[in-house]
Amino acid sequence: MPGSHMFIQSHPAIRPLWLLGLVVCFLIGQPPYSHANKSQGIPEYQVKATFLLNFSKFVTYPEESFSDSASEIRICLLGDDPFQGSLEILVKGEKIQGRSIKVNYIRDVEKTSECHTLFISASEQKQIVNIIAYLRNKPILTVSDIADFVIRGGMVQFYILNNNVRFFIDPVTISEAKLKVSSRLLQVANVVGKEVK
Amino acid sequence: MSCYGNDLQERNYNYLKNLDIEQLINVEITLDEVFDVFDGLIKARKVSVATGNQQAAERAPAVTTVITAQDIEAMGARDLDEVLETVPGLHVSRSNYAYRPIYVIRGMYTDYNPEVLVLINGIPITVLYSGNRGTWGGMSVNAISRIEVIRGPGSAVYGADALAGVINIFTKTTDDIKRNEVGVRLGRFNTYEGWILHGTDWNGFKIASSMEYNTTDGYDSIVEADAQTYHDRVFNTHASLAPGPVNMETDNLDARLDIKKGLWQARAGFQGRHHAGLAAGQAQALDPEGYTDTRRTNADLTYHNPTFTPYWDVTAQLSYFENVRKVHFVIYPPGAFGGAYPDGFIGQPNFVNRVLRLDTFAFYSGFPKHLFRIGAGYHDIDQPEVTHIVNFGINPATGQPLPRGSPLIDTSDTPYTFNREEKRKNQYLSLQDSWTLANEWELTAGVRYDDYSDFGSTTNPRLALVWQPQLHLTSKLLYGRAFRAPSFMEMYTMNNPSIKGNPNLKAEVIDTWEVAFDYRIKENLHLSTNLFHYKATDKIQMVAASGTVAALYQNIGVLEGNGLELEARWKMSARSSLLANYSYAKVANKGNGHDLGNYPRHLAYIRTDWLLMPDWYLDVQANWVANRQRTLGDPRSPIADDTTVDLTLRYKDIHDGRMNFALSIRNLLNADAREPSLGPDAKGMISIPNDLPLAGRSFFVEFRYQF
Repeated sequence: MPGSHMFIQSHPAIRPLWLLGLVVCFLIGQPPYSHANKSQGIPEYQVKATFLLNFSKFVTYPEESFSDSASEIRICLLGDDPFQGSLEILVKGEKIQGRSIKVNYIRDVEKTSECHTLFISASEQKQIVNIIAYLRNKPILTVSDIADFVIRGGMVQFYILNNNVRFFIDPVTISEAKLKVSSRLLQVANVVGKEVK
Repeated sequence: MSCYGNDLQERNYNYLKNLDIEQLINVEITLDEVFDVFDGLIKARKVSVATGNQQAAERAPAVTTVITAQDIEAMGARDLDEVLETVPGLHVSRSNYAYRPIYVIRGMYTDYNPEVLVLINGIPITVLYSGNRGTWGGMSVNAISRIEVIRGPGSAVYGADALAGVINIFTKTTDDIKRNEVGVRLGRFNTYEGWILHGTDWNGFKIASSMEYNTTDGYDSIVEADAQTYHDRVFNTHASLAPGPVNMETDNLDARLDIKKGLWQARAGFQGRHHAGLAAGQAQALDPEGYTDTRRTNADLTYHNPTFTPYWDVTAQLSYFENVRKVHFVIYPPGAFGGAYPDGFIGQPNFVNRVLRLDTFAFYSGFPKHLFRIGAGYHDIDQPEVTHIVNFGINPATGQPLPRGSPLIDTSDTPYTFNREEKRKNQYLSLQDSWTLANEWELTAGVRYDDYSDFGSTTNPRLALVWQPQLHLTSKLLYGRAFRAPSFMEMYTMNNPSIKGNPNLKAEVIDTWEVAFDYRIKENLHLSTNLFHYKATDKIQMVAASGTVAALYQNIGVLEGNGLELEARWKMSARSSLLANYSYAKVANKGNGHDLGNYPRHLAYIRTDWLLMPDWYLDVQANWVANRQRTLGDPRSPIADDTTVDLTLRYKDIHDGRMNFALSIRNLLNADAREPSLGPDAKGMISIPNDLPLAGRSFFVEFRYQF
């Protein structure tokens, strides 16, 4: 590189570089970084994704929402994907009550008829009232982390408490949609009643 | 990165799937989404500024830095200039003329700073008259979504003035404004700021709008002695206002509208600076009366079709930019020249500049392993109005010098005004190919031909070889040529006893060579470094002349610069991250062998972000500016080094939170930071001997509400 000799000659200026080099060496010597390390935690949306899978286990869908006994359970995502494409990795090889799991990505709420569990991304915030109205009484478990989702008529709403993922659940809205929710799920949830609305 | 990432995700999922739901609610999450300063930095490292096409920063064929709205918020920056100071190799200095910001990139310091191209949403905000951003710089940051900076040449893509670097500012669209926001900020020096951001989807139109208002008395650091102090000594008068405070008051209004539907986007913007103070004065004599009122207005209509045909991604843009300058300079205060000018020595050199641009470019991906970019455009650049009101100089009515103490007279549209009403037309063609030679090798070759109606044509090539032998290691070898167009001030200045324009000027040219490395040591530790060498020729400089005018603008001199930049980003723990950079530059004037002076040879910046407890964030940043030599013939000792520290504490509940409060202390240690003042003129006068004082310690409180 032309001119690099000038930089080598100007050696009082290089002194800080040695220091920086030392710092870098020190940094490289740090123990490897690992997500499994509990103090580092696990990315929020991986935990939320696992919840999505669990919800499908703890909710019973009406028979008519499946075309036959072999058809899949569909977990759908409406809007931008906060899971960064990892839902497929999560559901790969998973079975719930003998049914395999499929992930559908959807941009339009009117294309959700095949869904069993629907995660509504924060990107849909501005249309949320219309989305909830459209899904009302359809046998689809609606989940979101949009603020006031459950108050506005959604079923399950994630929130964060002290770095843990928790969720509100509204069993009345769920049963109105002909879904059955297990008591075990209700026990770990923050149950919201109709009277709160 | 993605392989490693998938592997990690799989491991995490296998762990999570084996947990009972009762355990799952107690899994501690990383604070990435809450406190993702580091991840934000990494995810944000996609740039479009390097080639016009969005790509990962480490593979982009240029040395780039990206700063997001999240960074801006975290570090408590209120103005673009505070943000840019954090970029490696970039120091924001202050001009002797009203403290306009000088973006010194890699040591290239000039008082007018026309060698840095600043774009808002890809459209230059260059003022034709001065070749820079005009009488004011910086801008409010509340409506900025990201800033991409190239250190190094950019003319092969952007054309004129991308000599030392390119700063591209992107404003917020509906995608960035998830919720409407109102905010206020109150701070020292009677600073009051308010803003509103609004985003909506109306019948398929995505509409984003913003309005920002800011008023301040500005900091009041003391200038001990000024140019009038010198004159007072020579003429035995007592007119100087020094020691006295700099005048940094201003009222700013910024408003933007961005409407998108389908492939079409229409934008409009307004930036007004009302009654902005002249700092230490236009002629380095304190001027509490003088001001500038400047308006920038812009509008564009853009059509972008990424799938015009399967292989063609096409963009066409029609844009308009107008800069209206209205200034009132009290060049020397009342009492100067033995009291001959009771109201002071006054000038109002004003102008209107307009640019109409039609730009088209397209990407063609029909050949395997090649991505071609073809561009063409036509720019109509105009200075339709020059007005000049003065109480000195030649009286156009008589052709005789105005007697001392005369009232203001109008010399507009006479031969005695300060500049010409002129036009310039520019047309260009550009071609670039990004060729993937093999998986790990990519060659980008580009060239742009510009033809100007006034100073002729120029051809600017670039060549970049990017080698990524492993996912975590990238090396780049870069060469680029860039040019800067002579400004109308440099070409047509007239009736000024100290300097005369030169209509025969040609473009200033720079050749830059860089080697750059990007190394991801671990997922939580990224390093990058680069070495650069540049040679600028045909520099447009003031050259002493004999006769009635003291100096003339000429293409003369060669500058050579060398240096390096180092950068580290480290996520120290789930609750803390660190960003540090160090830059070295050495620039010499080849003609006299002397250091260019005024720029810092060493720059270092360190920033740490901490999550103190849930929802409470602390950002501490420190900036070190060191070893600023004097220019040739300046007997003063080098400008003192300084370290400034800023601290910002913020409460923000990112999940359900609509409230966001912050308290920030700027220049916590009250360092006496100064920027270089002009060296001695031909008569040996040093106007402001103790350099230009900057702000001492200050604070602000901020409150935002989203709805």
